[in-house]
Amino acid sequence: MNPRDHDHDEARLKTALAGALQARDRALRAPAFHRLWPGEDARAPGAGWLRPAFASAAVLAVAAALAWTYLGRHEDGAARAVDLRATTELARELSAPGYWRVPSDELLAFAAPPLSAELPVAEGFDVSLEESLL
Amino acid sequence: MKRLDMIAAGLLCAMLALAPAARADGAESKDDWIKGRLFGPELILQNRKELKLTPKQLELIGAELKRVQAQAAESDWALMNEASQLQELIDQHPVDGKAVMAGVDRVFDAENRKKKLFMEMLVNVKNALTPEQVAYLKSVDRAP
Repeated sequence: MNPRDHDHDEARLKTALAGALQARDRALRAPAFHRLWPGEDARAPGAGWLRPAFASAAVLAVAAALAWTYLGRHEDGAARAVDLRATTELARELSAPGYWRVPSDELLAFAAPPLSAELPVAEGFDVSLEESLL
Repeated sequence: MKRLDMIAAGLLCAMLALAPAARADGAESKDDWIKGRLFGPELILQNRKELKLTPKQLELIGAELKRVQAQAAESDWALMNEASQLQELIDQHPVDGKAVMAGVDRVFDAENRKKKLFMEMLVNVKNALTPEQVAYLKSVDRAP
C-alpha cells in the first residue's frame, strides 16, 4: 500500500464516520439535561418540595414499619404476659370455694359444738376392779 | 344355739367396725359428684403447658372468667341485699313466719343465680377444651 492510497482510505473513513455520527444524531435526540437536572431558575415553581417530601415520607414509613415490627411485637408479648397473669389470678379467685359460698351454706352449721370435757389420761387411769365397782 | 349367737355377735362387730369406713366412702362419692367431670379454671391454667392451650383457648377462658366475675359481683350485691332484709326479719320476736319464708325465697333465688353462674362457668370453660385436654384433666383431677 502506497502513501497516497493510505491518505485516500483515511479520508473515506473520516467521511464515513462523520456520516454515521450525523445519522446517529438525527436518529437519537440529544438528552434533555435541562429537564433531568434543571437549574434553580428552570425548576417549576412550587414543585421543589415534592422530591424531599417524598423521600422523607418514604423514610418515615420505613421507620414506622420497623418500629411496629419490633416494638409492637414486644408490646404485644408483654401485654399477653400481663393478660395471662391477670387471667391466672382471676382463675385462682374464681376457683376458691369461699368465692361461691352463699348464706344458706351456713344452715348446715347448726350442729352443737363438741363437748370440752376433759377425758382421763390412760396413765393416770389406774383403778382396780374392786375400786371401780364401789 | 350358742354357736349361732357367737356368729351373730361376730357379724355385728364386723358391721360396726366397717360402718364408719362405708359412711366415709359414701360421703366422699356424694361430695365429689362433680370431681373429674368439670374442672376449675385454676386447675386448667396450672396445667396450661401440659394441655398445650392455644392462644385462642386462653382468650376464650379469660373472657369467660371476666364475664363471670362481673356477673358474680352483681349477684353478690343482690344476695347481700336480700340476706340483710331477711336478717332483719329473723331478728324480730316473734318472727313473722310468712314474711321470713318470702324473704327466704328471694334469698334462695339470688343464691340460685350465683350457683348457676358457677356451673355455667365450669361448663363453658370445659367446652373451650378439646376431648384430649379433658381426658388429661380427668387423669390429673382424679389422681390421689
